[in-house]
Amino acid sequence: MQYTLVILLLPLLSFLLIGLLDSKLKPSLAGNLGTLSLAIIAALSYYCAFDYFTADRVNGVFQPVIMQMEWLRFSDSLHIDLGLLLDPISVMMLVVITTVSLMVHIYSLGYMKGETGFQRYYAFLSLFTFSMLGLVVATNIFQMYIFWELVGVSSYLLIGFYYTKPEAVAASKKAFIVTRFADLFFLIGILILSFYTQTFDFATLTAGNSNILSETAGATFLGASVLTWALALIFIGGAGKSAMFPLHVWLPDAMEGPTPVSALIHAATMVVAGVYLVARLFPVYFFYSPEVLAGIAVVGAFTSLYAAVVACVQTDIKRVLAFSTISQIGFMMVSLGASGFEGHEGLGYMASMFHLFTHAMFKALLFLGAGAIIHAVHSNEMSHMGGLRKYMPITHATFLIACLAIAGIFPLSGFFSKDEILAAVFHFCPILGVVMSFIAGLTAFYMFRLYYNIFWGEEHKHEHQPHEAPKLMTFPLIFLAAVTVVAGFIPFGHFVTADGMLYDIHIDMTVALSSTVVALIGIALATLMYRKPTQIPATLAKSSPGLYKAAMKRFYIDEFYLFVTKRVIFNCISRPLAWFDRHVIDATMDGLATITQQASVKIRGLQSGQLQRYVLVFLIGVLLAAAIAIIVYLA
Amino acid sequence: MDSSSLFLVVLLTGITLVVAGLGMAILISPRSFNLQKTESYECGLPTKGSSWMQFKVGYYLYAILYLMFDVEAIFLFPWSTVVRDLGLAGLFSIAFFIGVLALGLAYAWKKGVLKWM
Amino acid sequence: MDYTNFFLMKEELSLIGVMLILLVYDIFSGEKGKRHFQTLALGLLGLHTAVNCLPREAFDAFGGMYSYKPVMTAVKTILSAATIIVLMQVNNWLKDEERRNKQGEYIYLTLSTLLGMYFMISSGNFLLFVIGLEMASIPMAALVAFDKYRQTSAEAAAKYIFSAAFASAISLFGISLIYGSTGTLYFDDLAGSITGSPLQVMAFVFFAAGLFFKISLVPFHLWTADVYEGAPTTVTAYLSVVSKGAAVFVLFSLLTKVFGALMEEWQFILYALVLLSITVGNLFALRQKNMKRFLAFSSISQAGYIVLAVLAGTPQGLTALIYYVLVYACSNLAVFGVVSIIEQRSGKTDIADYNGLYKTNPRLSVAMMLALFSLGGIPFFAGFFSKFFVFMAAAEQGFYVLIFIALLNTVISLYYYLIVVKAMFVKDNERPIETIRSDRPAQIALALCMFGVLCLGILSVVYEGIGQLAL
Repeated sequence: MQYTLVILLLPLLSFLLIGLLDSKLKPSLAGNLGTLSLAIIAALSYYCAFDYFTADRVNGVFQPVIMQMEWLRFSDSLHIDLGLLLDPISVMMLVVITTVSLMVHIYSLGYMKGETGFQRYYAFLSLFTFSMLGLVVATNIFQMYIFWELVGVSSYLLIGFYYTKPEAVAASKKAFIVTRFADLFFLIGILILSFYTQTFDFATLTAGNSNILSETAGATFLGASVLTWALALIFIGGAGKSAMFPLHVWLPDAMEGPTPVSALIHAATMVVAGVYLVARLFPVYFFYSPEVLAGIAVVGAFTSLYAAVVACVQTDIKRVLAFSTISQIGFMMVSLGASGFEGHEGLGYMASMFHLFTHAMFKALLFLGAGAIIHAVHSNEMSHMGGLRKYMPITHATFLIACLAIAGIFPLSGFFSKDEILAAVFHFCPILGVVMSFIAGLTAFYMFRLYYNIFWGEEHKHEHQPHEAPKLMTFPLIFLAAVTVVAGFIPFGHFVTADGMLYDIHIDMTVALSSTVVALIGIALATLMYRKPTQIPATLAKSSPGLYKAAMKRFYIDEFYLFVTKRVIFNCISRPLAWFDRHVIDATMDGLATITQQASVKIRGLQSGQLQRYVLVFLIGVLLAAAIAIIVYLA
Repeated sequence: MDSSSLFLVVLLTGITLVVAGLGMAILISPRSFNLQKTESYECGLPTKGSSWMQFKVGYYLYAILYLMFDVEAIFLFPWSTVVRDLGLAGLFSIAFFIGVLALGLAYAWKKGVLKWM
Repeated sequence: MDYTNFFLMKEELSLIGVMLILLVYDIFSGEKGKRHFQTLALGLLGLHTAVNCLPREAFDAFGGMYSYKPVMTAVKTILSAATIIVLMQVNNWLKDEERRNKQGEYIYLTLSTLLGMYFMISSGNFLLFVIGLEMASIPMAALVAFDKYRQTSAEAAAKYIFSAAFASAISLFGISLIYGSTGTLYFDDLAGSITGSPLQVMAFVFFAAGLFFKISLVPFHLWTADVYEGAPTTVTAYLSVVSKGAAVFVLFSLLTKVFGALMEEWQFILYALVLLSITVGNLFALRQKNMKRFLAFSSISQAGYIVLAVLAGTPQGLTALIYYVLVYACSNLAVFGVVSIIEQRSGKTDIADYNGLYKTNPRLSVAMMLALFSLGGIPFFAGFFSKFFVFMAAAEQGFYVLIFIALLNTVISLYYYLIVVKAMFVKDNERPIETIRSDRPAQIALALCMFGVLCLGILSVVYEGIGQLAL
């Protein structure tokens, strides 16, 4: 399967080509070039998936394919490699990433047409695709970290694409700093893990009950085993990228980037990197620190609830989608946290990956649809929309499909994956199951609130008639909608499971029925409140103003961060540090400089250009060295 | 007395003598500074102009060339005493040696060193 | 008479061959042929490097007078490659009106020093070693004086030749003491005979001072700044990279091979010298206004890092040392390449003249920036890896305090390298250096250096290859 290397290298090549030539390239050529290379690697990825999943299973498991070369060697066991690891989840991710990325590339041909920096945009898209692909096929955690940072950088570049807009610049900085902050923990985790296990390799780490891990688990720090600490720290890194509470604050702001970028990075691919990371190291988590896994479940559930509540009251359509993304990633995390390992126990893992897959498709669809709408009305605010179904039939239809999918209505793909997650969670802890079902209902509610506000309700007066998006933009919508419709019938358990064994999905009727009912209730409520302009939302908002306002302000988490950074860190740490820097360090440095100045004035005799002096110093140096050496010798 | 303490004694004595001598000189010598002291030649005629000037090195180059062949001759004497034992290889060796020197002469010639200016 | 011993010295013979061919060509070619002289020189030298780049089995020749080890091939190849790069950079400068007639001289002198270094590296006896050392330093003085009508150049040469003579004298004095106390000058025999006595310790220090002078470690460095500033820039580049690289390698092999018994003493001395060189070099570099003087002090501090690898004294240290020399050659030659291009076209060498260089000469500025980053040891440039390996080698021998101080010093060095970067990219200049079109060979040289700066760190093959040879 050597050709998989091309999947990785082609986007890099197209990044270098487009990036280096930049404005020398005609915009349309740059776009077509990027899209073409993506089309090629998408085709290759599909072929690769076909190739991989049709190969024979050994002992009931798809054998991982590893191609790597040694890069940096520290000791015989500890070395950093660069390579490709193909196993069920990485192959699945290849398909997801290339599909969504291809759609976004095509879509952007229309959406970004005429923007300044069009070539730059495509160069960055290629860079991002390359980094993301590198991340998922990494053979070892260090390589993953390298690409992890590259992904962060390209996300930073893309969020800040409109760098003339101050909000975009601020958002890109925020995203970068918050994720970078989380990555710090990730790095510490990697270092601890590799220090104790003497390996970076995923294959070695996840190879069942290997000795290195059980030995490590013996060492403890503050009551928990070192391994637990390492895994918890690594999860914090994942939580940063996957926008888990309380590190989610960057994601809503990241919506300042171009909408296709949001679809690619902040809905389908990069934000699930954390989920992917946990899934990648799942056996380690499961066997050596189930407590961290339980923690992941709790964090996931809380994030999911929090984001769903906040999403109910946002008015910026992209922000609604952003919070919905956070909530759905929460679902995936919960599912991973609730999962067991073998056979039926491993349902959660499978469900999480399945949801990752389906969610990538319908959330990308939602974002691209939102992009088309924004394109048409030139605004992100719900109040500027309404009644658009007449003007944009294709967008309307595809958006509705995606909304139904995310709400979990049979037979769309979201129904299947969410159903599996709920079944796994109910199995793990019934109370958590009830909470997650409630969140599923909330999801249905806020998605349809969004839907009705955009396409129904009172028509806003537009300066010019909104119109359907061009074909280049509707094609990806239709394609993704089609995938959303059929993806649920993929026998996912045949491909991706925790222990690698074949697993048949069967729908748990009680869970399926109850979740459908909850979703329908959510939809019904939304229909009641938002289908036609009514006073109900306003009344509700008035009846509990505190809650409404708090949710509107995202429960003041951002304000809290601002308080912490501006007031606490700036005042209590940075100010003293700045003082220290200015008065102690700078003074020391100034002092040093002064001393150097003075010293050089004093020893100007040395550098005076007088050869006699040079020779004298030389001689003194030799004699002194000889004397010292003899003293050392005698001592 | 072992060698280490002996060394230290010698070292210290040496340092003391030098420092004492210089120190005494600094202490007891009268000092006076004037402009004349900074000149290259404190006594005799005052210098005029810069010492950075060009002067003819014709003889100097000849001397170097002469030296080159002088060295060659020094090598040739011992060689000539054993040339029979060395055989053809010895002849080639000395031919190479003289050849390199001749190249040097040719080079100097080409550069116009042999032309008296 | 037996010639086989001669033919074993393949590298030296082929270099002598190159020199002779060039000499003959120079003498007998007309005005027209002169134009191709440099191309011919580069071609022949390239051929010489290519022919000799494969390591052979270790052997001794002339009864141990000449001794070869596979790792020497690596060093000699690096040195001759660096020489090629220097000659590429010098191309345009040599075609100037006032130097056109002296092209040949520049090249033979350079090659003679290289030949001297070759002998120095492969010597198995102090006599051959001294001949090599002198052969490497006397033509070097002539090179420093190459612009003899420029007062600074002549002054620098005078300083260099006098200091070098003094250093050689001290060194020879040391060697005579060694001979006096052991009765032999062969390295192999000396290894057993030097067992340690105050006389031998003193002899060793006197001898080593000659090498410390070449490497320009503090306090044997005073000539460096004046000579670097006064000498033609390309000569400075050669002096700072090739000459230093050869001397460091020889220092390593002599210390471990001949003076192994005095390890404790030389470790102590080197410890102090490394500390002094890194710190003093940095502190002086901080306040230089002239680019070449600045680079002189930076190279003193870099020498300290290289000697840190000598201090380790293990095969790993040797690997790190050679790798460091390689990376340092790429980075430093790139910097000097830019400096010399700018000096040739505009005659400016002050750091302040570089203000706003990015606006007029973006490519040169970027090349310079990358090279300076590498010198400063910023991660993922080659310089980072070379420093990293040196520190690793030293850490294995337990020199933690020294490494810590060296690390602190890298921060200082980063500061002054960034001053130059800042000058080029941030500062404004009313009269910046005009846009320069550099000549083709200099561009190729710069590109080669850039390749080294960017790729050597990532191509771990290079480091591992050297490691194989150094075992």
